[in-house]
Amino acid sequence: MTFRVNTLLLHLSVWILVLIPVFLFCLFVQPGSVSVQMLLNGFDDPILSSILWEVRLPRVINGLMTGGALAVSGLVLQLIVRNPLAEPYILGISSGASFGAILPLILGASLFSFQIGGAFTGAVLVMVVVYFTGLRYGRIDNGRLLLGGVMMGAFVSALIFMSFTFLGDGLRTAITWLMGNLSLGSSSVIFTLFPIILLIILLVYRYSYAYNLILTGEEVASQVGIPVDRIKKVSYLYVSALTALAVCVSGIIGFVGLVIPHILRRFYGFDHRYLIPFSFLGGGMLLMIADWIARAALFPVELPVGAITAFLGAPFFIALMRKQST
Amino acid sequence: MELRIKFLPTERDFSQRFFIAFLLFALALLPSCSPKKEVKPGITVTDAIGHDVSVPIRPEKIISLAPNITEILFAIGAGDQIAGVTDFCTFPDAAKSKPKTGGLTNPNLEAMLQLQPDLILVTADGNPKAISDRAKSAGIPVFTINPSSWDQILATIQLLGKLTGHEIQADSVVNSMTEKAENLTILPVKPSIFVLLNEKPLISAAKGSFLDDILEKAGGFNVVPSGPERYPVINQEGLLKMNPDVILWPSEVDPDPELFKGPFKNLKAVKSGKVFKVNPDLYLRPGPRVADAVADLNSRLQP
Repeated sequence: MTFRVNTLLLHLSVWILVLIPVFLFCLFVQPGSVSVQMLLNGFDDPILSSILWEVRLPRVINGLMTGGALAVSGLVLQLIVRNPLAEPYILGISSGASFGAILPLILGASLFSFQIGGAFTGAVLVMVVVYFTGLRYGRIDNGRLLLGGVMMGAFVSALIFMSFTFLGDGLRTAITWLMGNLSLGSSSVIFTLFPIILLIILLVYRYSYAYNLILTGEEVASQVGIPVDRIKKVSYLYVSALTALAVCVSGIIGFVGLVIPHILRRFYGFDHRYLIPFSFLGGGMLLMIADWIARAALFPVELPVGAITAFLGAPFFIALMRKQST
Repeated sequence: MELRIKFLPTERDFSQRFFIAFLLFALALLPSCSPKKEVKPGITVTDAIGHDVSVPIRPEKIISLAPNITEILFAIGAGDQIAGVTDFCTFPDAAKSKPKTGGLTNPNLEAMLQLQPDLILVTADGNPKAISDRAKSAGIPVFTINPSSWDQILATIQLLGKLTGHEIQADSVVNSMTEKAENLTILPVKPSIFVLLNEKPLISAAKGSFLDDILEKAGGFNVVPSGPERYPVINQEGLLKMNPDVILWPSEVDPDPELFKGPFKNLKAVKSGKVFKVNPDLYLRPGPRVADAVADLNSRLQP
């Protein structure tokens, strides 16, 4: 698809027209709980307004922002390491975040703010180690970066499983971090992170044309004046920050970052000027719907959302691949 | 072309031969490693998972793999027959000086076998089945308990009394528990209760768990309906909708103060200050002290 600003705007408005009803549906409909009518009439009731504004709204927005951040991370990562299997978690960042979240539990600090702080610190530490492992002669070496990430991921996972021995009551919380849950972050945390994530995605979007050229070959891109090395380094940092911010409030939610970019490439080709915004919206929508299923299926009991994203995404992707190859 | 003729075995041949000889020797030793099976007089009892277990009469070296089992054994006067306990068995004080066999989910089989037990007592929920199976294949009787209601706790105490030869003491423990549960104040209205086992995510006890029965016994009722899990993760909105009169927090540490500042500040229990921090050892161990938990909860529920 050739790029035109008008086409971008047209598609963007269609995406947003789809997003709004999905958003409202996830916000207002919850089988087994209070009905839509009660919610609309009950703005004065403290419990009903708490349910709507302090439980559901932050959760739906968290779904949009986490899913979007993971999808954009996956998209950019697949480009900079030139590997279709790359996803935000392959670089070990998520394991680092999980270990950072679990460590305060071992040390006996059960306050949630320690877990968020620990998760972010853990993610940043792993990110820095993997970054310096991946550098070779001052440039990012794709293979080294990937292998370094996988190794750090394995190492930190080993620490996590060893730490399970020392976790008594904290075990369920620790497992929640490993399975993902969108209800962990409080509304104040989510409303703070949302603009930060949007800002990083805008910064990534500035490189979308450069990404297109890098995709045709790093040598070619350098020859036409694209600072390939610098863009790869900065992109790695942006993507890591996106993953760290997503994981530190919601735990590990797999698959969104892997599957959404692949699905969208089948519709929009390899033009990142389309792929970046629509990955954000597509990832966000997938996670919003998956989370709605996680909380609606057995209300008031919850299912792990990470399992549902893969359960929905994998068959859809396989079907799409088969359809295109015939 | 060079011709190689071997006159003498080289060093490598020696080491190879030695190695093979060693292997054969080890192989010959193998049969003697299997445990000797003594035939002891015993009784056969069916346990909570339907296995018929042949237990020696008055076992002298019991390993308890759960804190509630340890508490039951001490309460019925079988404390001297305990050979090993878990790291979590902290009550009574005498339990702390018993040899340790590791955690609940990761007991150390080797440490257990070294104690040469004649009976291992496990819980169906808390301990991994693989450990029971391996202990069984080592020739040690493994008896599983699974008390998931008040009545089953009483029945389990009596059963362990029978197994250890302390039937009379077990009966008196059961009687004193029943007495405690009968001497309660009747509440004018049944308060609804939410048991908060974990804050993030919210984890509670559903109907069908023994905790649910404890709430009923104490004069209240559980707001969490039965579901696929006995200790499910609960949606925050679910807690708001159920809006319980009382929240029970069995833990040694205070809940995160942030928890009751957010959406939960409007809950009835939070507004009326009825969030009770209670002793987790009383409430979470299905053993003799649950009677104290029932009495404790009943007195807290008084209007």
